Amino acid sequence: MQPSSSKRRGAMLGVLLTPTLLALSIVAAGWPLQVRVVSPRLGTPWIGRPGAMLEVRLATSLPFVLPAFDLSLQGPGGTARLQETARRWEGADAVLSMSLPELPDGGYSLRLRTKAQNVLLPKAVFLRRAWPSVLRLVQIADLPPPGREPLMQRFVEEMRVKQPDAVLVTGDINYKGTESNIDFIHAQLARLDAPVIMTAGNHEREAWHRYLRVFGARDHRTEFGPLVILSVDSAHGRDALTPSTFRWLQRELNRLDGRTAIIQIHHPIFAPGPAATSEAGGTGGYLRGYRRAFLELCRRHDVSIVLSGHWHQDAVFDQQGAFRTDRVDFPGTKYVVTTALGADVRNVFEQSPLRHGYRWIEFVDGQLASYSSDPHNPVPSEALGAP
Amino acid sequence: MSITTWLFLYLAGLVELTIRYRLSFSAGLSAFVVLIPLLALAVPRPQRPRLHVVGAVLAMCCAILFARSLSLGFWDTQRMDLALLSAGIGVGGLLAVREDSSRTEWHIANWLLVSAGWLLALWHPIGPMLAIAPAASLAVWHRAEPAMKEVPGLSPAWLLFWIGMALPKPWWDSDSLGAIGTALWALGVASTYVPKMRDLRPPLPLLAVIVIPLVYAWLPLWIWAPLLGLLSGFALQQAARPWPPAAAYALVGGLLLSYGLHSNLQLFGLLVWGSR
Repeated sequence: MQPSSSKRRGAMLGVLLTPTLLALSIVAAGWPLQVRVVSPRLGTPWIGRPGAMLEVRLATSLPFVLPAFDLSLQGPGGTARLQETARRWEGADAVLSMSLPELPDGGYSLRLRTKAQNVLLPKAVFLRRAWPSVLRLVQIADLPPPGREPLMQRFVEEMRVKQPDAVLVTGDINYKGTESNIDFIHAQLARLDAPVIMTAGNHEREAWHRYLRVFGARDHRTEFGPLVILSVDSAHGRDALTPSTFRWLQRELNRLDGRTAIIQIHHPIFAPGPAATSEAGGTGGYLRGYRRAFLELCRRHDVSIVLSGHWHQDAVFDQQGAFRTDRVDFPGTKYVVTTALGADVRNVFEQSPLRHGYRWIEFVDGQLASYSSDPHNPVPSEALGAP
Repeated sequence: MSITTWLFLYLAGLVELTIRYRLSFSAGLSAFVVLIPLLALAVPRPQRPRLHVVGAVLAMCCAILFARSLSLGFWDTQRMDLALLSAGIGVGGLLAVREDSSRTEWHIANWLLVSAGWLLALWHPIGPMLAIAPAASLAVWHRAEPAMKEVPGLSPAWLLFWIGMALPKPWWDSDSLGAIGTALWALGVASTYVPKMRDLRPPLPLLAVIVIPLVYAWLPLWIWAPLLGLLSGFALQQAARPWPPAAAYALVGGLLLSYGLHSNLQLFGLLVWGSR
């Protein structure tokens, strides 16, 4: 045999064997076939009326293969099986369109059953037949770290009394990154009657695998009656939006269909400026990369309010980046930073009082009507007491 | 599989995993364990042929166990067992390809494998590491191929330094752009191994002039990445074989400096991909 022909045959075998071995490795890694629900789940819930199409996103242990499965909703209003009406693949995830059954309004858990799995995801789906004129949202950020669990429990008890329509959690959920703490926070949030809509903060990156396991997606959209809530991840370590995140935000803002946009993003958009006594307690922390483009997007799409955390102190900026202490009902997008719910409060601004709390935001007929510390519609931030 | 293929696949795996799950040196020993294979590059190559087979088997076993641990899950960068499996893939793959690999002629297939490995990250961040194992096994089987003789050439150290500066930019997307960008880059390199393309290669000084503006990533990724790959391929083909150590250090130095500039140090905003 000629050496060149032997070499060619070797190369051909290599070309055939490499993908074969790779495919066998992938099968060995992903067998037996399992799935994980990426969304909806607590943190990335789906909210809508019965009869509408619910999208369930599933990750599979083998690429592009779905096992036989059964999805159902379970809640105080009853249990109903979901019927799949369409299926498509986005990347390596299967996106299933499911018809929502006729069940009473309320929060439901999503149960997934396969031959090998039986998983229950609490408060993943919320059914609402009608949307009231006034929608009341609560925003929290920088949740109580281990050792301050009572603050979290008190917040949940208070919300069970006040009954907001949704709770937005704007990052720094899991201080110290421990398994027990994130499970505790998840269990507390699951006690709320309202949907919980989550975005990640910088502390989540200390145990990113845990955040992804418990709460799921990074950037996500929640349609909420006349509102669209866009939860944006800015906390991957560079206090910036990435090209992929920015493009995602652009796409989502381009399909508002007349709804009012709210953005929650952990890092404040503007630097503290001359009013600062420190730069967020030494954490740096405001949006750097893509800031100008982000502001332009908010202006062009008339975003009502941008909610942030991270500084552990309240602050309000207008769209020029001016720190507003005179009034908060100025025109244009409101850039609002909310104090910590339970993490140490900081003295970023002299003007702003130091206290733990949350922000209460009201929309009337889809328009931002008030938010706590609004002088015309005062609903003060609640002082939950010293840690 | 050549040493270059191994390096790019292991780096791909590390980059995907660390960018997505954040590897912090303050997290403990596990953060250093995953770097062992990179340090092992500096160790003199083993003389016993059986070690190559052992290496390939080790890489295959570790890759499957590692991928099984991360199947539908996420990498806990503080877990020592996962760090050890990752290091096992790297060291095993390295053992399988070490012998004479710096003298082995690079083929278009090497770069297609690198490209495919990066694209696997779109399915799961573990994908590129998983690609090392079969490639290492085949390297052992394919060892019969005679090693290339020494090839005189240049040491394009400065050019590779700039390529090192540019290459990590898409990785900072912390999303799919890293995998897509580097896969396109590897395809660009692969295209220079097509016979007629080799004739087009410009001289190194001209290449350096063209590469420098690409360090600031202002072109769309689908143009920028293959173009950088094309220029990288032309540069690699003009380098002497065995690989000149100065060129290797320059490439790694560029990668490390770029990594520092793009991390939270925020030294030069200009150099950050897509920042406005």
